[in-house]
Amino acid sequence: MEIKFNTLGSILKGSMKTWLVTPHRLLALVIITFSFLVPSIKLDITLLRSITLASISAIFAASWDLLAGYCGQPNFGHALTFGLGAYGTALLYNLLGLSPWIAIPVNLLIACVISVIIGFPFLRVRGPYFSLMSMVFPQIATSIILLFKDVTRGDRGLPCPTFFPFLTITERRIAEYYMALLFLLVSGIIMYKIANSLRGRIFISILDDELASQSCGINITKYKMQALIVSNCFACLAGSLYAPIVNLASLWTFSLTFSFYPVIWTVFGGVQTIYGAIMGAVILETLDRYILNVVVPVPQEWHMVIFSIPIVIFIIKWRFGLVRLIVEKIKNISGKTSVVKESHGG
Amino acid sequence: MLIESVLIQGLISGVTYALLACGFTLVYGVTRILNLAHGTFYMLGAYVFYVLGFGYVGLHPAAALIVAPLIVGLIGVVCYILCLRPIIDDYFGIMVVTVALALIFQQLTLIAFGPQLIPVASIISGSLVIGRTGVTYSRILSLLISITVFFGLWFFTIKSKTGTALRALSQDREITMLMGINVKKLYVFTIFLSTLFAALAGILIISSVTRQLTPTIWLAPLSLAFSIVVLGGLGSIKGSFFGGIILGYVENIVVSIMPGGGYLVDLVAMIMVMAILLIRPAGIFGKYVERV
Repeated sequence: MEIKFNTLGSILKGSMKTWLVTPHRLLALVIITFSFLVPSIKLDITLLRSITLASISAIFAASWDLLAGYCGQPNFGHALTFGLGAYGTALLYNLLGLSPWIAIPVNLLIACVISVIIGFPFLRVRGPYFSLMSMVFPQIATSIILLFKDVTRGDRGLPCPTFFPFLTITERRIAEYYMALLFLLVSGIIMYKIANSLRGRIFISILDDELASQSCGINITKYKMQALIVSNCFACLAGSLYAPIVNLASLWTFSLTFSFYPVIWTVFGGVQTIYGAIMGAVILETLDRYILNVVVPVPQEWHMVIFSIPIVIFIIKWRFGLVRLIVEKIKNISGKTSVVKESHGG
Repeated sequence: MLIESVLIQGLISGVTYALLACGFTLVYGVTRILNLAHGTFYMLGAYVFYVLGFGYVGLHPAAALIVAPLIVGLIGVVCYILCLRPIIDDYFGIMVVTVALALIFQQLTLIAFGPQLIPVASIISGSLVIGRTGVTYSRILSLLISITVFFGLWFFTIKSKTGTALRALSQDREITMLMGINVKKLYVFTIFLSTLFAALAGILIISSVTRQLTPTIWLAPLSLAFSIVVLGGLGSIKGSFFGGIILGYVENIVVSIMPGGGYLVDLVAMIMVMAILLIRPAGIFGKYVERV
């Protein structure tokens, strides 16, 4: 028994050693450990809430990256499923009295159905049809919500219950922080694993050349549809987490401005990386919600301008993104070759 | 809800939407730029027209109708040279940059003019009575201008030398370069024309139909224009003309028949687009070319 235990321990130790010897993994571990210790340093409650919302935004951004960066279908109406999650949770509570925990799986199911309905006509054809029409979907959702004003309260938004009604405000903020962090960790790992699996390779082959991957016997519509469904499900999850934390499902979650935020975060962090999208979202969203609101107050109208102009410059000059650049630099320390120049040379 | 009213208003709004859509499809057909910021030039056109004609400068509205699209065309060319020319072959970058530009312009307009509705007077007052329905002169004016522009564009692409070059460019860029045509200049010219059409459509719709300005007015017409473009065939000017008329009628019929129809126009247009894409993947007038 003891011998077995020892061998298991030594194997674990050995594998841990080889696993941790790469600096970027060590960095990831440090960041995750640090993020679990954040509430213990008695932060400002507004900052903690900003980081909580930023973690949820990170799920949203990573799901955009999975569809756009890997499968080459930029979705400019990604807020559709986010808003669907938010409104689904609020409506289920207001009509049936269901708790937001039960609403999450229901929302995900609806998001799957909606993805199939949207994806089938637009992903089947080659060309930019999906990106073009994706801008229209959230507007349709907005119109439908305005049409049923009696149920949805139109412009005023729907109130939403919290996840932890039995805790005090401060405890609730900390609990929400850990919940958002856990969801971000789990969904980030799932998306990263999907993106780096065989399926992720197939997505990239579709991005690079649809015709060539079709001639290799890949059913491109099927894989595009899978990417759309996974991406929309995680966006919907982010929406279902977001509404109970801000206690409101508002029409703002369907706006084009909101659809563009994941694009900003992902391009800032690095397209086609997942971790770039997550870090970009956490950094920029904290900047947006805390630093530009509390530390240096800037009028809300200016935020989009402040974030959009650097994105144009990023796309033109630095296509690889900031977080990705840093991670590649760290990877270089351990002797691995950089992929930045090779994949974005042309 | 009279039949002749639906017939006349549907034609008028359809042709004006088609003017907006044809600029978009022209740019896509010739330069392969998917200009998602097209709607912003519609909004900018309306605001520049308001500033020139009613607000601060005090030009005659008819003069503003001519000057404003030219100004917006120049803005479009500047945007193209600064932001789009360096990444002309990168379709992902172009989409992101154009949406970013759209939001930057929207926010700048919001900062400059505020979120409140600004009422806009029509260019000419009075109305004409046809049968039992009255049609305002400004709507007739917008119909005439749109049809003139369409026939001008058609004549230009068929008969003139530059138009022939444009058609060549839409078929193959490299071969056009080999024929000794200045492709760079043609790109700038196409962008100028397209933004000019968008601005003109904006002015016509704002001054004759909606009569009010907000920084987000461009979203609804833009989504209709996208539906028109996909319905008629991406890159086909004829397609966007007929697609525009079809959707103009659909809009008017839906608004007049269904309760709460104003909210359902987008949905009905989207269902039509989905149905057309399932039957004809390249739209009504598009050619499905397998590009290798």
